[in-house]
Amino acid sequence: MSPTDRDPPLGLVYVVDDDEAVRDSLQFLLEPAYQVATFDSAEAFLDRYDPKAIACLILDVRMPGMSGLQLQEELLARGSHLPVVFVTGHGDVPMAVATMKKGATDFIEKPFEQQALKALVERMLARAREDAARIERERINSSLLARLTPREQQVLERIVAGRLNKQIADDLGISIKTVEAHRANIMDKLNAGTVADLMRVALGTGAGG
Amino acid sequence: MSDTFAALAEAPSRRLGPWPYLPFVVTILVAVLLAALIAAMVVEDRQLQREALQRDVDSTAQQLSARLVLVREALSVIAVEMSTGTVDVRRFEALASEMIDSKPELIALAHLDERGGALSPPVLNFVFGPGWDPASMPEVRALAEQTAAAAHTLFALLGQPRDDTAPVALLIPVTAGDRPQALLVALLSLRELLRTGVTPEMLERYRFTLEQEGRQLVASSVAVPPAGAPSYATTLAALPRELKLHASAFRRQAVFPADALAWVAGVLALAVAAALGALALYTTRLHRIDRALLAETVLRRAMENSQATGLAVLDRQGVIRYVNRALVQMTGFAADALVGRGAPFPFWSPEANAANERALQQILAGEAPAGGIEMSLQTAAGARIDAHVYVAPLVDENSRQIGWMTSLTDVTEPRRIRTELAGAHERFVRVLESLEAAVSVVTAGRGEAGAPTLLFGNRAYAETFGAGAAGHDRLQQALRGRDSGEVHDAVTDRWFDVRTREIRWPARGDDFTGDAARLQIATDITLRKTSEEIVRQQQDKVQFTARLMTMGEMASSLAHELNQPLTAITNYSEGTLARLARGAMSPEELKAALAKTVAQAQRAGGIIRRIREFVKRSEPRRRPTPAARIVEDAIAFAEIEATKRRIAIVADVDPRLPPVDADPILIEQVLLNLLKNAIESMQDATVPRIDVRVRRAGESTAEFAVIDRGAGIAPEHLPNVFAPFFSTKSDGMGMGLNICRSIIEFHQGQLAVARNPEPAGGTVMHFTLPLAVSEPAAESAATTMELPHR
Repeated sequence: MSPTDRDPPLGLVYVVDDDEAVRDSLQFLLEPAYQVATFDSAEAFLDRYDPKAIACLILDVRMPGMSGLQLQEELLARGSHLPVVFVTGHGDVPMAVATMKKGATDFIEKPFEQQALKALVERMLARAREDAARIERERINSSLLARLTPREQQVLERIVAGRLNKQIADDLGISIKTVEAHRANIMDKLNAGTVADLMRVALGTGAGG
Repeated sequence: MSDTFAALAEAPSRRLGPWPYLPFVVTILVAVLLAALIAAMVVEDRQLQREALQRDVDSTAQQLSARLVLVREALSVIAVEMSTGTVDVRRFEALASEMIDSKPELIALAHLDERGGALSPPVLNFVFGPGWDPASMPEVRALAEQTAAAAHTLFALLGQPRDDTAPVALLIPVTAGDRPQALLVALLSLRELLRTGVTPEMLERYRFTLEQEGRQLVASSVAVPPAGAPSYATTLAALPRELKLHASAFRRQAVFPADALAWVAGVLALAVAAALGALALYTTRLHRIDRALLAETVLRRAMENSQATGLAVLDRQGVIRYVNRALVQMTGFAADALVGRGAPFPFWSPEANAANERALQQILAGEAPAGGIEMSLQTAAGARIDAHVYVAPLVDENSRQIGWMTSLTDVTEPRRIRTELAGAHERFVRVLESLEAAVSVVTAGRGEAGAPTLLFGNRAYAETFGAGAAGHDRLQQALRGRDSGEVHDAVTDRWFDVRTREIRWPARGDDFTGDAARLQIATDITLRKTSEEIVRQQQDKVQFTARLMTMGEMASSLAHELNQPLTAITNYSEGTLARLARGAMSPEELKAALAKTVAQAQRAGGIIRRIREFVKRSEPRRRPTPAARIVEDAIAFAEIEATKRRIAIVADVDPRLPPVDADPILIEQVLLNLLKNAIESMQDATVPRIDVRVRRAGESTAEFAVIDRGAGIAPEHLPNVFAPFFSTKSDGMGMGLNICRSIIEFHQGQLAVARNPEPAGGTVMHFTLPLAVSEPAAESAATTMELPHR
């Protein structure tokens, strides 16, 4: 029921909670700003969520049937990078730690503070967007790297490791000239102007602006 | 004197003298012999009589025959003379007359020819009268011819007698040459022959008769001997054989000598028999007396031996002459070891010798007190005996005192019993006095006899209620007609366990019926009551604590459960605030949000109320409660846990079931506990469902069942599930089911466990509760203890 003159939603928020009141109120709280989809169980979520969507997941830890943790594991197993905010009750710190170790973005205790929740959701969505960009970049990087010959990959590994051309030549038992030739080829294939660019592509981190 | 003592010791002979019936036998024998002798004598006498009779008759027969022969001879002489022809008529007449004169039996003499014609006038005996001329008698003439032919002398009886003369004809042939020319005929009277030929002695003794072939011709006397008199018959030699002389005796000859002898013998025999009989009677009496004496002696000996009193006979010198068996048994000394002994006796206690010696001297001096003397004795084994000795003078059959009879009674046992009785009484009284319970007896029949009187009250009674029957009376009234019960006495502010009973109270020692009275035993149980109350309070505390623990165990779940509405409330509120701040909220939206907020606030309030009620600390109070409500509340809690595990809890309560009489919180606690256990057991259940079923199980009982399909209880654990501190859970306290059971038992119900027979397995826990009888009655019968507050 968001007003039609409002900005389009900033992101998609999935809510999985077995308690109908909690789901409904969360939706009520987040809806004008975000697009909210609610599910009453992990199974229902798995059935219907969009893996490609840029979204975050607000997940109740304690649920009948598949628990929040199990759902997180299942998502990880599916290679999903969906940022997850775990909703815990009081005294669930050990569980929270465990979820963090498994890559959960954050957790929040009930009842929520609106600011904190919104900040968290914002952060999660930002991460989701980052993740999406990174994944895109990695996808490009990996396609660039695929164009390198095995010898070029060996040379690139050593460049990234910070070794000098002479050292690389010694390591691989080839001449410095050959190393330099490979290096030029790599720079060319990876579309890198500097070693720093080369490093970014090779390590697959961030989208360089 | 010594003979008397010797006889004392002698046992009476059981044998008696000769056989007592011998005199009878001898008497009978003598009588039999005498009877035989008399019989023999009588027979002998009879024989002698008979022989005398024969002799007399034979001699008489000979005399008579001799007379006839004499007549014949005389006539033969005449016949011879006549044959010579020398006898003329005159001579014949002279001879005949002479003969008739000398022979009175001759009736007539005649001289006849061979044809019977008279050769000369007959000579007649006039005594016989006329008519006796032989020649005129045809019978004689026939005989004459016969005789002449035969030339034999002939005696012939003449028939047709005119009277009792009984004539006999004697015909003698007179031979002249070869042939008889004439006959000499004589007529004889047999009557006269008997009359004259038999001696007077014979006539006196016998009656003679001449009989021809049984026909009596003549008799010697008119008198007839008695029938059966001895008689005898013989023939007369001269007369024809058919004529018989018969004699019968007038009286029994020689009766006197033989009978007299028999009589004398009989009398003597009777006398002997009488004497022997008397002797036999005497012997029998003697025998009877002997037996009575023996029996008495045996009885006395038995009595003497059976009595527990020891007897010792002392002679005047103080020497023991006799002891009975009791004394032997009492002292253990053999009789031989005692008899003949003087003081000090073996059975005297050595240490009491002097005292016993004094007592003996007292006895011998005849100064023993009538009440007896105490003496200290000992047995052969050395055990001490207290004996009470009585003394009596012993007198022989001549009333001379020959010694002392001392009887010794063992009073050791009676003395001990008396002492023990006194002790027992003392102990009894002491026990009664030392009893903590107040024991009292009052007169019965209160009401008509006014206030009851205290007949007995022990120390505890006096200390508790003071003197008087007031305390007894108060407790009795508090009992309200029961025989026993626990009552509270307001005056002393104490609780008593009171037992009462109607008894007979003997007014005096010898009164065994006694008056009606009432015995009351009141035990102060205030302490017990207090401790019972403390126990009850502790139980309450335990149950309360258990509820708190249950809540504690559920705290996380409860917090979560409470967090849900709070979260929702916060969200709705924040959402509303944000919308309001932007001014982008219609009143309808606001209303809807507020309504949802209110609902969530109520939800939270409901949870809190339920928790507060559950952990509310209150006195257990039973009241009629619908089973459905208890089940609902319990499930509301349990579902918090159950839903997390996707376990369904299905309530199935019989809608027709009346309310149960129970404390709802306690039963909810039980149900919640059972449900929690069920939930925990169903971690991996294939059928994730718990049934809570309530049914009527009888007239006044409801049965609750919690049926799960969980792991079930191992059979080896079944007996222990209700035991305190038993738990299969690693973090379990093991108090849950134990407390559940005590709660159910407080409600007079039973909690039991069984295996779920369904294929899915699991456990069935079921318990019973009483149904509320009816609303008001159940309310008043609420099982709350009314305790006085001190």
